[in-house]
Amino acid sequence: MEIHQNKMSDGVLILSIAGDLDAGSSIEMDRVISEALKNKHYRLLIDCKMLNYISSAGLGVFISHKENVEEQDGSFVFYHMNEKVYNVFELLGLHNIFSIVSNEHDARKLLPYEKN
Amino acid sequence: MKKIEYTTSCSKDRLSEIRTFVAGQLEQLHLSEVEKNQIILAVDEACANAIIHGNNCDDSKSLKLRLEIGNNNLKVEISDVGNFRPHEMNWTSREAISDSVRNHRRGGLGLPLIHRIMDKVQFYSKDKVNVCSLSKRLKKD
Repeated sequence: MEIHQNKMSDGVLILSIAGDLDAGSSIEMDRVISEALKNKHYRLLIDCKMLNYISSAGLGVFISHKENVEEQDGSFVFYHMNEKVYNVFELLGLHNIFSIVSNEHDARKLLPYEKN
Repeated sequence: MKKIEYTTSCSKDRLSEIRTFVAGQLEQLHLSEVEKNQIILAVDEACANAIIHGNNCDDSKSLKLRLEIGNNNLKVEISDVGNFRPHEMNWTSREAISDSVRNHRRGGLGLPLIHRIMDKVQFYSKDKVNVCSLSKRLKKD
């Protein structure tokens, strides 16, 4: 799995995930998100275009950070998710808990405004 | 009925190879990509539990998979000699999911996923070997 980070001028952080997010690679995903939050990036777009697979360990990373992000008036918004990965969110009802949209434009509209 | 066995070591690094192996065996069944991914996910979750919780990622220990693929049915047995015994836990899938989400825990979602995907899930121990047996009826074309 590879994670590409793109820090935008408006304070949004785009994390593009490529490959398989499983019990092994979820440790790296957790490290990247922990570091982003430490650097006060609370408005996070997760680009799933190249994400081929996610297991419960991958889902668990986002669940474990969700409250932290929202306490800072931030949000995770997922986009470009393929059918297989979306189905894994659906199996656990997580598609009702996380924001998942089709493209970056729609994802940006769901992000809260930056805190001054 | 096709029967295949696959043995690997108890390392998280092996999970990707296990998924590739299972995907290869499922090719002949002409399942949709989502159905195929669900079965691969259930096997991956069971193997991850055995590797991480049962064997503490000790790659000197073995993990064995046994697949039986019929026309309408798939059975997968995952066996190891570790300490993870989910059948001894007081657990229900509904509680596990809501607990994990409510308490922002990253664990506890693997078994609920397995139960949602497979029709029959059994855990048992025999002669110090732990077996996770997963069965699923397959849709006919």
